[in-house]
Amino acid sequence: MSTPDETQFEEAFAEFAHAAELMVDPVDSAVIHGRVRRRRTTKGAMAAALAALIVAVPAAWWLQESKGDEVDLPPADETTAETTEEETASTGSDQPGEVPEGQESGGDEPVLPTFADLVGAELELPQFLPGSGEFNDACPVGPAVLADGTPDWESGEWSMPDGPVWVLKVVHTALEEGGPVQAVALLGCRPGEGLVRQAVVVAGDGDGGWEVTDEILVGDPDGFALYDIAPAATTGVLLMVLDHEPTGGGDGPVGYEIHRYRTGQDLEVVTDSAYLWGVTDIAASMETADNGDGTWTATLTVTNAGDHESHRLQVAACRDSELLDVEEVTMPLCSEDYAGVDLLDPLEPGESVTVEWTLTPAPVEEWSEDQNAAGLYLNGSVRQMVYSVDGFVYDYDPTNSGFAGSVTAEDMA
Amino acid sequence: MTPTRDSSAPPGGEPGAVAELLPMRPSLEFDDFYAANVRVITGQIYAYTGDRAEAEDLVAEAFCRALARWRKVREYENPTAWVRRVAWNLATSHLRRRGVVQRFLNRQRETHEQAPDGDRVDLMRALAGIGPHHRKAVILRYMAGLTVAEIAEQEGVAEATVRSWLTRGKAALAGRLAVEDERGSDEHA
Repeated sequence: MSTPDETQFEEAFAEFAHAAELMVDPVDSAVIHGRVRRRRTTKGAMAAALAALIVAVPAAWWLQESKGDEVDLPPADETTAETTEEETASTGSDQPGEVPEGQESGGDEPVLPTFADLVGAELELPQFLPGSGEFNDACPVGPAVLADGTPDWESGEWSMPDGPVWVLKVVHTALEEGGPVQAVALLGCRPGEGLVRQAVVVAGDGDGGWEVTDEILVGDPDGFALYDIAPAATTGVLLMVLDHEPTGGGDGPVGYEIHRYRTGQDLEVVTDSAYLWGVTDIAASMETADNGDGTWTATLTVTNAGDHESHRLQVAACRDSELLDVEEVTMPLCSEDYAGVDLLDPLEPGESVTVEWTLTPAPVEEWSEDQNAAGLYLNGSVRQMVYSVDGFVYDYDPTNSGFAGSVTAEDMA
Repeated sequence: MTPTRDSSAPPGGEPGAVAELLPMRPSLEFDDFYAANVRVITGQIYAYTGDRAEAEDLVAEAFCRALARWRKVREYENPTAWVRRVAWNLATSHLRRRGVVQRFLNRQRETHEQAPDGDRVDLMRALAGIGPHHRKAVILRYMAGLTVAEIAEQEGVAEATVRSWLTRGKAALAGRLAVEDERGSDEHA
């Protein structure tokens, strides 16, 4: 085969693609259906195992929550497995128009929606900013059409594409002693700069739809900002409430409290006793080193600087110019996008992980005046995958989760 | 015309305009969608990873994710692009984490499975030897028939970046194919 021109390229690839298609042997679609079904079953089994634990065993973290015990053991294995977004989503029914799982059975059992059931559902909700008039216009609630509030991590999504009202998490828990298990949904909207969240109890309306049966809390972003929810170990739902809604790394550490809600009772502060898996401080830093061959190695170090195990982590980054090529990942320009470029496994307290990227800067002669002065840079940040587990996810010190690296004209000299 | 490997592509028309496999209809069912797309995408990922079984696994996983959220994905303007992007991202992560490129190169020296013959082997080897960005751009352009703009959108980069990848990728491929050609000539001399 001689050195190809454009036409030869096209012809060669056409033939090659045809051959590749014939060579591959993809599984039947029934296998795909089976795998997804099994994942749902696994998810259901995990929930059942958790329920059994709750009923049968006064787990260590329940002791903490209810009695202030300082023991900080992780939950049992069944409960520590991370629930990925797709697993969460897959707990609902697949087919449009199909009655959501559980609703077809009728009877006296309460019908509990899953996360997937609520995506796309219409619900009459409390206002997100009660008493704030037109500020609520950005967050329609009569009814709200709920969008999926969990970014697609694997495809690098950093923020939610739809909206404006999102379903962020759904947990199933008994809200009163001896009472039935109920579904509590964490919903969010962004009427201004920050996200405002509310927690409501949702159940089947008996007609194939869903309705809010109780309001638990509408967060106040300025003073009692609802941030996350988690099922209590025995009875109730735990509410993580922040001093104020975080606005990024600029406002320093933001304090939090954890309250336990039970039907008909006052909120109970359980901050000192609740299990704090996922409530930690993620720190990131970057260094660059000249490889001597026209390339540079950027080393990102991510450390769990807090006191509790983290969840999985998403790294997002962008580069300031096309003159800086990053070999291992697809990194958008900062002027155009900010996207996830990598996923990292959970970190134990004190544990670090490094990620290396190979940078190839264009020759300095091609740099602009500004680039000659400031260099070519990339920057980004690291966060836990929010709303992905039946536990809290919170980085209480966002000031150190960002990173930046650069290659300057001086470096290149 | 740029050859397009998407099965429903009409025989004529501009590249990219025919890049997507099926126009999405509200009633489109998953099994139809799967049948129309799986071989095409698997072929592309195979070309990228160089490992057929891995490509099949990665694409199956991408379709599992699509099925798990089918009610949402089916409403997208271009569900095929969503699955393809997930499959490519899975493949990219896979290659990066497991050093498959190197193992692929090693395997090429001791091919076990039935491989394509003739020029296809040259192309496969040449693809394996160029950088992942360049390889991805070339495959998406010439196997998937995507336009530069569509590749840029999928990869989240500027169109100029994609053009650069294509130019450099084609140059690298051409160089490698020329070397293969010379070796072939020597062997036959």
